[in-house]
Amino acid sequence: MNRLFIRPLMFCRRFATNPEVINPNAQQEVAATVSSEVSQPKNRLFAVVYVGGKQWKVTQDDLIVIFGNNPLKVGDEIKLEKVLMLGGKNFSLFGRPFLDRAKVHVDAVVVEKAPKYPELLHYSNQHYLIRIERWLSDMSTTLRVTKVRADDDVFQANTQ
Amino acid sequence: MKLTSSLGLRRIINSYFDPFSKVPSPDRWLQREKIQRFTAWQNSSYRDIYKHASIKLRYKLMAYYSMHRQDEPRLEKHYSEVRVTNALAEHDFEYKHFKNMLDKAHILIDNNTLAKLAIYEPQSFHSLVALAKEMAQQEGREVMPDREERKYDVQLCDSMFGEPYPRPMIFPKGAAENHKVKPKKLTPNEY
Repeated sequence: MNRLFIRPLMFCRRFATNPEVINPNAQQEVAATVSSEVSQPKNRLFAVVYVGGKQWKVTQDDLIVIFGNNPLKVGDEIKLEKVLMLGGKNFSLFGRPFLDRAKVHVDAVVVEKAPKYPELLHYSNQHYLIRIERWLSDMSTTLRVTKVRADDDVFQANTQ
Repeated sequence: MKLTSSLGLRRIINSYFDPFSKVPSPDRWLQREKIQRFTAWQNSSYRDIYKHASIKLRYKLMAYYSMHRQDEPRLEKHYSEVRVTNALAEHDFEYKHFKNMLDKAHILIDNNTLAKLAIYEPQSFHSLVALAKEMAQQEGREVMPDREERKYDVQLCDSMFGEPYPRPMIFPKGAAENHKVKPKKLTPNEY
């Protein structure tokens, strides 16, 4: 049931909205600030990405665990493309709903693939002598975020 | 020869066990330890006596484990809503207006992430609140504006006020059709 709430996010790209420019001067000012922040590799950025039916706030060297079967193998390098937000010390960019995937780079490596910890499904009804006990398990994939970066023109790309 | 009945011999060729000794049964302590992993923190006989422990495990602990598994995501959702509400109170803003405005602007960050933003990235959260406040003000809702020293210069365009995306359907009473009874397969004659 919980996944129902998040799943439609996948289909939202085709509805994505195109903003208008109302004050070019202010826009250029903001664009200059963002590009100067983004261009320096020492500035640490964070991003909100949508992976595995969940939203994660990640930054470089973070570990995230996603559940379910997927075609990934240990050592695979992937790019997380559904970026909802990018932030730094002095700026935050919110996608509507997503930021331009060509300009934002959130890279990750698969570091582990293992079965999930077991969880219990238990149902008992003593009147009818029913006792159902199932140990549920799933595959878990651990990702390490290796890079959260954006191109210098990330602001312009998302406002055109 | 009726050796088997008199001697109790097992006539198994290449058996792993000596036919003249008893087959070792699996150790019951392994099973007991398995139960005790779950009942170690129970009280008195429920902890010390295997019979009581297994009853406790069956009827109380397992039911609790199962309930906890179901409740965990719901609780997370509930608590993050509470956290976002309280974070908005700090900015003198209401939850319903905030969520409505984000929906209209097509910013689909969920409550769990919003709560994390409010805690760990307060400046980003503040900028988002400022945007939503400005939108709510333009819509004519009652909003308390930010103080001068912490006010953002927000500029809005018309595309911010879009139609919210359709919400996913929720079926509180289950699906409309009964999918438990699957339709029967067509035979070649019926195609």
